Amino acid sequence: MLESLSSTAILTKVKAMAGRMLTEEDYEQLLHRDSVAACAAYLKNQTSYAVVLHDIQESQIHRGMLEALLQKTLFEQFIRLQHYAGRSNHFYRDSYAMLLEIKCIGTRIRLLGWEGAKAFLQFVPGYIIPYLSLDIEALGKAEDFDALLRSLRRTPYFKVLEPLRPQAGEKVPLPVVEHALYDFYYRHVSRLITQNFHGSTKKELLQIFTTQAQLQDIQAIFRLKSFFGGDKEEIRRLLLNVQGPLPRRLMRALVDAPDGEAVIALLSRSSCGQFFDEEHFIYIENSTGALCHSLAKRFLTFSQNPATVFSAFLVLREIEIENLMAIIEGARYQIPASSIRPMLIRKAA
Amino acid sequence: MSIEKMTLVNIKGPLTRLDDTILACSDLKCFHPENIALSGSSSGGFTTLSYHNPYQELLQQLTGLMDNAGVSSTPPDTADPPPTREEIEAFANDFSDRFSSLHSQEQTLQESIDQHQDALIHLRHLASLDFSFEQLFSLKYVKVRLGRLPRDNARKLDYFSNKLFLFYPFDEDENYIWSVYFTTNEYVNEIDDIFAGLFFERVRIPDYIHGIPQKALGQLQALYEQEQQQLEDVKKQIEDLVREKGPGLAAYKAHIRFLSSAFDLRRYVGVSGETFYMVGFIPKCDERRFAEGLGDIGGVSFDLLPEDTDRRFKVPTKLKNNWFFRPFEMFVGMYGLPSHEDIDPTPYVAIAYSLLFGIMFGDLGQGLLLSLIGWVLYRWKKLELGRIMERIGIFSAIFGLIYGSVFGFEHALDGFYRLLGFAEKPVEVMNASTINVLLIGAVGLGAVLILISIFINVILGFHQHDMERAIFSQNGLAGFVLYGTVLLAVLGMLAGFSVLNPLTIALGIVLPVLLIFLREPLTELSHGHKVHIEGGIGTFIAQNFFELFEVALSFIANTMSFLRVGGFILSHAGMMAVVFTISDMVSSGASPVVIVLGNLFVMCLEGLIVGIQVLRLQFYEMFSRFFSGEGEPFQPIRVDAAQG
Repeated sequence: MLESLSSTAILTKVKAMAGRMLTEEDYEQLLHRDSVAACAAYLKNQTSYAVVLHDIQESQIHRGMLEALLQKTLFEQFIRLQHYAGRSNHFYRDSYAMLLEIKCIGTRIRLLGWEGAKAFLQFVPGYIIPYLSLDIEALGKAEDFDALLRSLRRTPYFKVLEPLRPQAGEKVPLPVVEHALYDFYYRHVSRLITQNFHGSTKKELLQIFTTQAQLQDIQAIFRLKSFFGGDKEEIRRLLLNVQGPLPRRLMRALVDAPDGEAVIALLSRSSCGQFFDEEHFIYIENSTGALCHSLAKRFLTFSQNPATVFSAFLVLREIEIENLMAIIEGARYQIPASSIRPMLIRKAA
Repeated sequence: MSIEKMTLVNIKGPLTRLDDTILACSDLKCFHPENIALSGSSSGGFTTLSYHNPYQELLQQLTGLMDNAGVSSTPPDTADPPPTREEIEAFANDFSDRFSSLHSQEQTLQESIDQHQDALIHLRHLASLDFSFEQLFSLKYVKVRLGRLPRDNARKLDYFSNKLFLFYPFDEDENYIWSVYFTTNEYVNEIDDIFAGLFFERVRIPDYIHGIPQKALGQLQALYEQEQQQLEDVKKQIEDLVREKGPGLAAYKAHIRFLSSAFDLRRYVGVSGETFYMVGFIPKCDERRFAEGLGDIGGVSFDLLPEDTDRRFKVPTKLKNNWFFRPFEMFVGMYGLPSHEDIDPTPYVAIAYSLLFGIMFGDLGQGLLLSLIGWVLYRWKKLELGRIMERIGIFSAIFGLIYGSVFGFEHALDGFYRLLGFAEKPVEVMNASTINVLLIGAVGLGAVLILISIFINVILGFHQHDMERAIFSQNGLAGFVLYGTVLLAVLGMLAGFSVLNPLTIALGIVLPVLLIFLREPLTELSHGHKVHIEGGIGTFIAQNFFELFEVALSFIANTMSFLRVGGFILSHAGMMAVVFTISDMVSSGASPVVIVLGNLFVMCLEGLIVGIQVLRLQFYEMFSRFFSGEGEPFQPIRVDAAQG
């Protein structure tokens, strides 16, 4: 009984929160702000972000700080909502914490031998530290891959990264490391979904997560084909190969495509063609984001399953924050609204 | 009472007649264009029309000016001939220059005021410190930084314990720690860098601030007030300018927007040589009007084809309902439009909504008043909800007539009933023996509505050749038979007969339960696929067992959900009884006032709650069983002369 009450509660709360997300009008207003301070003032005074921005000083706020506060909104909403998630509470906690941890490890590896601990510690938001199972201080101080592995010894990531230890004098293969971490993540999340949910909830959650994994693969294929020549075997090794809504046949054809343009051409003729319009293609993340947005929006509107609605809401909120970051960056570098507008992920073009 | 039949239209003509064609389509208000580019490489060799909208920049300039100056979008009515583009540009540039100059002054003052405001906030936090700023900032070997550090980042300071700085917090609020840090000249760059990375916001104490913080506070306050006054003066000048030039700006923008919008519709156009092509849909009933509208444009020809001729285009949905059902399309639209192949649920929504609302909010007087308010709201404010209120008010009045309730007077119609030959009013809501009938009746009505919803889903499932949806799911034929059999059994128990025998149990309960339990493998088999059980037989049985349990629970919960219908009948009568009890307690002069105010209160509160509750029943207990709302709305081409 309590379970069903809390589930109903989460549905209502999520729908209420979704109702307070930014509207087209908000985006237009923000696009016309010509400074970070003006964006901050609008978000603080006219939107639901007022909760985290209420005591910022708009005229002084640093772009990084504003972005960190926006990210914090997502985290705080996640924490508030997951309390109502009943028995699926630990699914959200585990999957979300794992994603944050993977992002932390990825960043630390990217910064190895560069700016070291300082840059890494500045990257990790202070509010997430208590929720992570990582020893952030040890991770920050790790100056090479071996030290990084030692700091992760008691975590599940050790087994994932240990086989990838580079030989002496070799560089850390970052795409391979990221692939291993995300592969582990998606397998783990799929297992959690299969163990904790059934019926339409399981089906919908798997659709959300497997779509995300497949879109990540599409991004990787496009980038490798467009910028790095794209050896087929190497691309195959870097794919997550999750079975999702996009047919395997299409994914295989994308890997075999000669270049990035051919990838987009294939996608534009597929079932998700409306998101990969050749004529109006902007950049790959924009198209994959639009597809993800559309799927999440559909589940948020039509699903009756609290877990699906919750996950869809998180996806939409994350996209909204990415949009805001694009707008803020545009305002910071005085990029005209007409250039930023097409970059925003809202719906299919 | 259906979804409008569509006709696919292919238009082609010489490029010189393109603008005339677009404007004609816009005037007809019945042409839904399809993006010809979406048809991809197989679109017959033509390309989309690439162009540069010559009005776009001017429109952006005018929009930007209006946004910045806060000019209302409504253009004044004028009979003057439209100005030329050059005249509009000159007007916009003149306004822009004058406005920018004043706006720049305003911004400079505002920045200065903001700076003072920030400094005032900081100084208030520093008020407890009793040293002078001169003293603090004149240290020779030590650098001092005052400011605030986000609480989230304060915990990260521990990671930098090996660096040379001294951190001293002196005040804190919900999100920030107000603090000072000291370091030496040698390390200042490194330490500043660390704190900058932690988003430490430095307090820049202005040069003109002297002495201890308490004294400095007074100085700054005076300066702040002086600049506020200057700012007010500049704002006044801006207001005068906007009042003088604003209407002209709005009128010019409307004109340019019209020209730009007409030009923009070219994105739907494909071109081959000197010929343009457009594809779209029109309602079948508008075929003749469309042919007449485009027939006058020389050189332009078009083909009218069946809606499903070209599978690349998704046929848009236009709901077609009679005068009674049409306002309820709003509720359907809130959930999502049905796809063109689906059934339009509007009539079902209209009947079920009106019926449930009438039952739950039954009062002859209040119902008629609600209708009247709805009529006024629609005529006066063009509020679509007003038309729904007109209709549900009538149903409320009909049920009020059955309950014998007029503005809460429960026996005002007794004479009328006696005239009709009744001994008393047909339904005495508050009578103990009636309550059970009302509650059971409400649940019964709910069960019927759920059965109808499942039935619609079954039809749609067969229509779309989706066997899981039509047969095996809880909202398919299996669910229908199971739910129907259980309902009949319960009805039998109440009425004293039994429908349960080995045959009905086997066909009405066991078989549907098995079908629902095995729906995934059965669906795969129905598609001719090999059955694949993910996770093994054990997992499959465990999962489907619990799922079946959930199906049973949801049937019970959904049915019981309709108890609220009965509950609100009682609640309405109860609330009006409270109004009358209070009116009896006050003086005879105040009593009518209490009754009027009480009626209004009950109408507003209960009317709103019942309205929302019925909508909730529609969306959750009924729509969720059959409606997916994935249709694409019919949006006819329109040259936008509107403002905004």
